[in-house]
Amino acid sequence: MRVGLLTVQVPFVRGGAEMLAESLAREIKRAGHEAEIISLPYKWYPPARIPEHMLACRLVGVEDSNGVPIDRVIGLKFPAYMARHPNKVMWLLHQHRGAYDLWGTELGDLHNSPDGAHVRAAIQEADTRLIPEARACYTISRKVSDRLRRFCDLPSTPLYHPPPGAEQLSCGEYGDYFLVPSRINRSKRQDLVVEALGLTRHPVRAVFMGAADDHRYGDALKASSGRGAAGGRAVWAGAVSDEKRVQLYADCLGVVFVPWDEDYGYVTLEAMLSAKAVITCADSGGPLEFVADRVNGLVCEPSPAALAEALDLLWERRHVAREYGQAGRQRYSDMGIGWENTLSCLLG
Amino acid sequence: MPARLKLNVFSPLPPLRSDIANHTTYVLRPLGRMADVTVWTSQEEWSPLEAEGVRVRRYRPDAPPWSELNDAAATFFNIGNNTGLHADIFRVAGILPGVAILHDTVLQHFFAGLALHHGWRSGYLAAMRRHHGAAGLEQGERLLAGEVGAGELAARFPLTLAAAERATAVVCHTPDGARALEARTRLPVYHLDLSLDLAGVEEPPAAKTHEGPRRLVLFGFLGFNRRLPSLLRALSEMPERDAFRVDVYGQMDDEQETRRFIASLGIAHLVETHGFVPKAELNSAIARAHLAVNLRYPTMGEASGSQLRVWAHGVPSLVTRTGWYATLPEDAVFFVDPEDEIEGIKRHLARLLARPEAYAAAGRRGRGIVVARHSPQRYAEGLLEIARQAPMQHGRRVAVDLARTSSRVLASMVGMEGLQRAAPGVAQEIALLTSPSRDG
Repeated sequence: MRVGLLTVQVPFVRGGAEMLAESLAREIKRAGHEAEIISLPYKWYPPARIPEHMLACRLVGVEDSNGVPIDRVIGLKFPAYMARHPNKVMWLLHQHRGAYDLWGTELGDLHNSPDGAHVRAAIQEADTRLIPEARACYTISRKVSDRLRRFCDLPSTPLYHPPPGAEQLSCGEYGDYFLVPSRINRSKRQDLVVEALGLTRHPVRAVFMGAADDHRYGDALKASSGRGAAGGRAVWAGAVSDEKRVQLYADCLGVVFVPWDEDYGYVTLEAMLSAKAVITCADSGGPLEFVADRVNGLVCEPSPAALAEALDLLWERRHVAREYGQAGRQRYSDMGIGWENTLSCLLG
Repeated sequence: MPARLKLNVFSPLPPLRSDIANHTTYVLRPLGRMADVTVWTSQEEWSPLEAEGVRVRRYRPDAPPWSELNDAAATFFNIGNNTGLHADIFRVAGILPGVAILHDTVLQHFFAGLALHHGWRSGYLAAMRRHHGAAGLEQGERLLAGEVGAGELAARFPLTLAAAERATAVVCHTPDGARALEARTRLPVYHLDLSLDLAGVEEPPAAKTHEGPRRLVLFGFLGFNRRLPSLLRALSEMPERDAFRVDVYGQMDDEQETRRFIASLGIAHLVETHGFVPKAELNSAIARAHLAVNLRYPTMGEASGSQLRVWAHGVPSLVTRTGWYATLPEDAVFFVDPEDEIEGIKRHLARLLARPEAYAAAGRRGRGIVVARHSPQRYAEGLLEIARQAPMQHGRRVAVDLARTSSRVLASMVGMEGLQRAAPGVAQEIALLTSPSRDG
């Protein structure tokens, strides 16, 4: 079977979506099929450009390539998933969140534009009309399925998959730092962690791993983490090699992942595979599908004080951190997260 | 029970002397009972609206609060020919997609005013070229050079759709205007009958005395197209002229000149000019009149709030057989043809003396029309229905924009011939992309 993966690329930006597409292509090939990532450039500003990108995607012919039919396409990202194909399956990473759950929030921007409501209506109408063209609709998480149901009244099935490089992750020591992995971005709320460091009773240390895609935010965070009570206890590792990443996961005491309403979040799964407890927040979205409070991690309110309390708890009771981490590893195993089921659904 | 919609309304507001401001206040009362309405104004002060469900917010035309505006299901922009009252509204309407309510469909005066007094010269020329081609551009340049006036350009270059450049839909108050616009735009065009609040208007008496002189009344903004000089000349030429009295209320283009003209005709003893007066006083004046003279020529394509007001008092009226006025029921108004204006006025004045009851009966029928078709409740329900169709309107607007962009891109790549071949496929995809996903 020849399978096209429909996604978009914001040039020079790389994140979980790109890794997912690459992993999926690799696994499809491993299963004996041909796979190609069909990636279109995407720019969401000014908002008037968005419908133009939607039309451009719609006009791209993906029924065949070089005279040979493409048997199946898998729609991953907006608006690439709008491309026409008679045998399309959706595996939705997320919709254009500015038109949905981020509308009117400080993390969204569409509502601040004069034609924001206008473009929002266009996106919602097109999604509602065109997503059902697919023969089946899957999403990467229950969170994404919930949004699709809530905003577009469309049914879908969540389909979990392993994070890239899952097989490399393992548990080392329970060291003297918490790992805070993620792109440095407001939606990941590293500021909450920095503020919490300033409130802990113990000399808790944190290693922030990931490149900044919001440089102003990143610079401000680094500056504030060097001052006050948190001074010197935050380490900014930036973008690291795969090897270093695996090592940082393996040797941390626990993983802190406190985004706002995350779609899925590889970080949670990577932590579980590394047998590390996960500290997350009650409004963090995707992680809550995997983290049970006081079973394989801690779920706290999204405030620096509550987060500081959680950090202190695991810092002073290291055996609890270990216990939660082992439970996380077991839970991952129990959930049967793997590519076999994912491919069976997407290619079936 | 469906949730109350949030609506934005941009409009001039009292105490500005504007029929549109008055009309908005009539409509807001019933509209606020059915929806949460925010009225946006750049005025420094406004009269309290006293309408439940309605709040007034001031905005800076250079920095409107987009996020707050985007919170509404629909935005309505009231646009009329008075540049001073509508320039700020037009500025926002040019950026924020919404429903343009065109109180006039001939808007040359408005745009010329923007160009000449608000620095919108290049925008004006671009609009003239876009909507009226090379001839429009040429005449626009002449207007800016002071070689021609807006009045001379209005009929041929109305610039109607220049007020709807970013609109998602258009509302017109005349059926003919709506039909004409439907032929010229892909946007949804709606017709709503202008409305009048009858509160404060007393029920007219069943019969009016025909003793004493017959009172004629004119009121409003008495610009060049209100034909006051024609009425005065006609009256002066009638042997029975002393049987009439003329009351003029409102603002004249040049009051001194009008006074001189009245004096020169020898009818100063028959005509009294009152200027602007409180609403109650004007209502009394209309109510005691035997005939309202409500001529328009040329028409700006507008429906007339003044006409509704005359009808509300059960007073007969003379109108010009043109535009919206020509569509009024024959038994509820009396027509004057533009090419036979003075003689026509004279004939009607003579008949008013001879057959007063026939005229009074027409006035009473007019009152019935206002009650049946022109209630603010009905207008507000119309606006609400239009707001409910916002998803379809946004889709249509996006489709229009995408069609324009793709035509331009395709034409630049493959020329007009290639465009004709490619267009159907592109159009089909645009339609699929932008059609409403659900009814309503």
